[in-house]
Amino acid sequence: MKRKTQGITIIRIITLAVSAFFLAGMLSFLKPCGPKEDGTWMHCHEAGRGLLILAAVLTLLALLRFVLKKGLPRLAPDILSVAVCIAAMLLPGTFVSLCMMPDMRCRAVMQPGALVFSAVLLVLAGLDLAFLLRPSQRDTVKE
Amino acid sequence: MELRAEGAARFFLRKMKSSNIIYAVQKTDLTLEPGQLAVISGRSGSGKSTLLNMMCGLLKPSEGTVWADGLDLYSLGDGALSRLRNEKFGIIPQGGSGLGSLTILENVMAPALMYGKGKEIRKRAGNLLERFGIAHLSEAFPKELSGGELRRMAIARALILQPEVLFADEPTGDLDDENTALVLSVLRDAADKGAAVMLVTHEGSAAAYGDVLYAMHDGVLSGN
Amino acid sequence: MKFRHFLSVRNLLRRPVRTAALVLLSVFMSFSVFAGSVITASLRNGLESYSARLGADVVVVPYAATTKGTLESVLLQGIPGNFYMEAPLYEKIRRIEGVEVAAPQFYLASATASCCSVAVQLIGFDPDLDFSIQPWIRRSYEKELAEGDIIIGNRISMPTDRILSFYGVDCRVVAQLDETGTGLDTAIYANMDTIAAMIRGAQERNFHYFDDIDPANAVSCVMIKVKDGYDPELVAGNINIHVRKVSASKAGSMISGIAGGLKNVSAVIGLLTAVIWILAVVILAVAFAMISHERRREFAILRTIGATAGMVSGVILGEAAIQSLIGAVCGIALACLAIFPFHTAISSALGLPYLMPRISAVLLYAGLAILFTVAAAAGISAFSAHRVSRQDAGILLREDN
Repeated sequence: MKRKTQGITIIRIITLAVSAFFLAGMLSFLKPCGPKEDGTWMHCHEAGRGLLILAAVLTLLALLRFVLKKGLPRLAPDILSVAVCIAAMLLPGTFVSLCMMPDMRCRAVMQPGALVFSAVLLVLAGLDLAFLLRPSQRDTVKE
Repeated sequence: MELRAEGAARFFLRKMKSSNIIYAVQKTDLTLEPGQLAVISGRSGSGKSTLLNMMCGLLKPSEGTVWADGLDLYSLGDGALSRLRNEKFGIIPQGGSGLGSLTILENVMAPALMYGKGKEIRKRAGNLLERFGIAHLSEAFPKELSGGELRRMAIARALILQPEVLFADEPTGDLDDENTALVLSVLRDAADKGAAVMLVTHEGSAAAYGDVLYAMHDGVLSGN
Repeated sequence: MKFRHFLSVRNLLRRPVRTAALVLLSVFMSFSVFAGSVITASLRNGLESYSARLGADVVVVPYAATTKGTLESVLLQGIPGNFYMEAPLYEKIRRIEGVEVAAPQFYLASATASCCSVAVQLIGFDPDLDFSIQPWIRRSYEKELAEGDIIIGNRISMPTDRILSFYGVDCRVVAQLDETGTGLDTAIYANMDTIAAMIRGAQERNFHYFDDIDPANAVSCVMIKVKDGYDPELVAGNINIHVRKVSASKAGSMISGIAGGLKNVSAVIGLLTAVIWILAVVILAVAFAMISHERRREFAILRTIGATAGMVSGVILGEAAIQSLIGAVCGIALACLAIFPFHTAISSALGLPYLMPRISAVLLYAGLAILFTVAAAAGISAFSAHRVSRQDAGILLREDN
C-alpha cells in the first residue's frame, strides 16, 4: 500500500512539473510569432492563445490531483487531462490552422512542443489512472 | 550423512616478522556423525568459524581433506557442491544474514525457491516462523528486525529443507535466555531426528545440549 | 519467474534511488548515441540530397550574388533572394568551350504583402534546357508544366489544385516534390512563361528588384553540364576569364563547403557522445565496484544457501541488464521526443541540409543504441560479478565479523 502511495505521489509531482513547464513554455520559448509589420496577427496567434489556456488548465488539473483524494471525483482530473491533452495535440494545425511555412516558429517549435508535452502528460494521466484503479498486489516468484 | 575432516588445515598469507604464513586452523581431524550434536567452543579468533566454513564447503582447506559420505567435498565442482549445500546442509552464519530485498517469509523460503522445489514450502516456512515467534514479521524486511529476530529467521531458513547436516556459527549471540534455550533445543531436536549438527559457540549453556564437546585454542582442536 | 531473476528485480525495486541513478546513466548513454547517430545520418542524407539536387558540374551566378552567398542561402536555408544578370551574358557562357548544356534559372522572391499568398522563393526554369530540376519533378509530376502551373516544395503545406496568387498571377498547384532536406523544399517551381507574368506583375506593383536590368532579358543563375573529357574546374575558370560580372564555380566546391560543415557538426556530436560515454562508463564502473563491495556479505549468504558462483554473477548481471535496458529504452524515447518533432528547428539551427533517415535506419540505430548501452553495463558489471563470485564465501563471511 505504501509503495502504491509513493508511486502515485511521484507521478503527480512529475505531472505538475511537466504541466508547469508546458505553461511556462507557452509564455516563452514555445510562443508563436508576434504581430506582423502592419500590426495584424497571423493564424498561429490564435492557436498559441488556445494552447496557453489548455496548458493552464492542465496545470490546474495537476494541482487538483493533490486535493481530490476520495470517491469518484478523484478520477476526474485524470479523465479531464486525457481530453485536454488530446485537444492540445489537435489544436495547432487541425482545429486552428498554422502558418504555411514549416520553418515558422508555430510549426517548427510551438506545434511539436505542444505535441511532446501533451503526449507526456497523456501518458502520465494514464499511469495515474492505472494506479488509482489497480488493486495493490505483490510480485511473486515461482515456487 | 557423515562428514569427516582429515588433516584439514587453513592458513592465510600475511606479512609478519617471523613468518608470512599464519595458520587459522592447524591440521585437524573431526567427524560429524548423524544424530550427534558436536559443540565447539573457544575464544573469538581461535579458528572455530574457519573450521566450520571448511566443513560446510564454503572455504577450501589449505591442506587435508573433508569427506562427505566418503566423497572428497572439494573435489566436487561448484555446481555439485552448491547443490549439496542447498539440499543436504543447513548453515546459520555468524551475524546478520538477511537478504535485504526479500521479506522474512521469502528469506526463509529462499533455499527452496533457488532450485524451484517444494509446493508445500510456504506452509512449512510459516510453521517455522510460528515456532520461532516471528510469524507476525513474515511480510517485514530484514532491516526492520532486531538482531535476535534476524538470527531466528536465519535458523528457520537453515531448517527449511530439513538438512542432513546443520552448521550453526554462534546462533545464540544476540538472543535472550529464553530464545537461547529455544534455539539450542531446536538444534538438539534436529540431532535427535538424525541430523549431524556442528555448533560453534562461546555460550556456556550449550555444552548441556551437546553429545560431543570440543575446545578450540589458537587453531588447535582438542576435546571430548 | 526464476529465483535469480526475481531477486534481481527485487533488488532494483528495493533500492529505488540507486536504481534510478544507474538507469539515468543508461538514459544519457543511449540518448547520446541514438540522437547523435540520427542527427549525423540526417546531415549525411541532406548532403547527398543537396548534391543530387544541384545536379550541375558548374554553377554561374552574378558576381554580386557570390559576395553575399545569396545562392547558397536560397539552396540551403530557403531564404528568398533576387539576383540577376543580363541575358547576353548567358549567351556568352553557353559558347564557352567545354559547355555541353547551359540551363538558365530565374529566381524571384515573392513578397509578404497582400499581392502574394505566401513569401517563398519562386524558381523559373526553361523546360527545353533544364537538366537539374526536371528529373526531380518527374518523380511527382510527369506532364509538362503549363503556364500558370506551379509545383511546390515538400515543406509547403498546400493541397494540389489550390490556387495561389503571386504578384497578381493566379497559379494552380499541380504537384508537390519529394523532400530534399534543403532550402529547395520551401521553393515553388514554374516555367519561364509563368515567371515572366509574375515579373510583369511585380513591376506594375513597383517592386524594384531588377535595378537597371530588363527582367525580360535576365537570368539569375546558369547551371552547366560540361562535355565529356572536360574538367569542370577548367571550364569554370574559362568562364571567369572570358565573361565579366559573373562568378563560376565548380559545384563540388559548393558541396565541399557543406561537407566541411557536416564534418564539424559530426565531430562535435562524436566528441560529446564520447565524453558522455567515458564519464558514464567510469561512473558505472566505480558504482558497480562499490555496490558489489557493499553487498559482498549478501552474496556470501546466497552461497551459504546453495547459490553457485554463476547464480551470484547472474543476479549482478541481471540487475545491470534490467536497469540498462530500461534506461536505454527511456533514452531512445526521450531522444525521439527531442529529435523527430523538432527536426525543422534543428535543421534551421544547424543551417545545413538535413534529411531524416528512413524508419528502417532509425530502428537500426535504436537497436544498436540499446545493444551498446546494455552491453556496456553488462560488461562493466561482469567484471565486478567475476571478482565477487571468485572469492571464497567463507572468507567474505569472516571479514564482516
